[in-house]
Amino acid sequence: MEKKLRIMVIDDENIVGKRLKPALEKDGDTVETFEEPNKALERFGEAPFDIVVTDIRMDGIDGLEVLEQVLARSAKTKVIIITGYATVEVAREALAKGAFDFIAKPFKPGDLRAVIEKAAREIRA
Amino acid sequence: MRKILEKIGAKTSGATLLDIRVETIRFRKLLENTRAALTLLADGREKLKGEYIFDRQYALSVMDDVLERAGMMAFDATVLSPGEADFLYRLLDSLVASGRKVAETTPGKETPGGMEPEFALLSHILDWLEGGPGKGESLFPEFFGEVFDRAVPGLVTGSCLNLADSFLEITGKNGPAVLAVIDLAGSGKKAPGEKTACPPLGVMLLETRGAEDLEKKNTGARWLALADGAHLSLRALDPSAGLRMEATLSGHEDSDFVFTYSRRPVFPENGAPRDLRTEKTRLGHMAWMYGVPARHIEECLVRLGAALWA
Repeated sequence: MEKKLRIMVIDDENIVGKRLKPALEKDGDTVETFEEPNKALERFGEAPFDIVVTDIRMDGIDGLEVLEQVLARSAKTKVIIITGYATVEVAREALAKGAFDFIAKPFKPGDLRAVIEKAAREIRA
Repeated sequence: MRKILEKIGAKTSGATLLDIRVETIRFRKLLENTRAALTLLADGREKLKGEYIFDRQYALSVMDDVLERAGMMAFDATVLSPGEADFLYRLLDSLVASGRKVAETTPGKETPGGMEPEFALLSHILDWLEGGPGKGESLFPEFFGEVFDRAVPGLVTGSCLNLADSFLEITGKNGPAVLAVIDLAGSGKKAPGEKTACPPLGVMLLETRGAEDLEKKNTGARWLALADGAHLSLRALDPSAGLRMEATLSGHEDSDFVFTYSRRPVFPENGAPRDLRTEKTRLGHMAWMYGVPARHIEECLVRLGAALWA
């Protein structure tokens, strides 16, 4: 039986976590959602996650900083970046800094699920 | 392009044919920008169905993008009818100002029926843009209609008959209709027995009672067809008919379309071809079809030909 994943979702827009959590938990994975990136990073310090899904544009700490801090603490964690409508350039920068992949809003939960499954295969390999 | 330049040099005082060419391209740009605005609205509606995750920024970007296209439409229309620039740009300014106000008056966290705020905002924006009932004053449908009401009459008409490559006489119930054809692609490659190398025009002639090539140039033409490969631009030379049609029939679903603007409806009520969308403007009627299988476009063109000429 495959080990269930621990997934962290960070987005300062409440709707993202609210809609992603039930969609991603359907496969039995553990999902924790955060609207404030600093609280998410505190939580990550307590117990690392396999996958971090983070929005790129947030007040205070942005997605790129989250990416850097997560990878500094756990190089095995796969970070998936959610980009807004016009931030594809920033997403490219995120990939250059080690993000696993990115997904652009608007998206369907199934689209993100497919990226997570790809990340999970690498984690389990 | 070379063929077009040769044609300009060989047949006319260039500027006239060049004017037609430029005007045809600009009208197509107007249709492209209109289609892009309609596609943004349709995409927005798709996102509201509930399967998608999006944020407030996406909802606001729909308004911004539609208004940007509206600006392009105003530009296209004023190139076609320079005298309408003041009116159209004043209307555009009002549209943009109202749109910004609508985007600022966003629904708060408490939304009707417990709808998530991002969904409520997008719904609010789309309702305003589409002029839904009870959604306050929306200028976009009015702007949309005025652009075409004012752009179509400004187009080049009968002065270009001397540039025609051929004349077709079509026998219909109301007597013969003479169609002047200018071949903008310059190919002139007609299969034996065919009246035209332009697929949409060929399809429009299918249900007419014969179209004969006139040997001599005929100044009694009441229709002008600009054939440009798979693209046809057709207009009635009688200004009171105010009829303009654009169509592409290439077999590629993404690019094929039919668009008509006319002072009177081309098809009777409840008798329009399937997939044809219609909209009444202050002065006329618009109808369009795109993103559908090629056979639907063909059927529509056959029926258009029959309605106009059979």
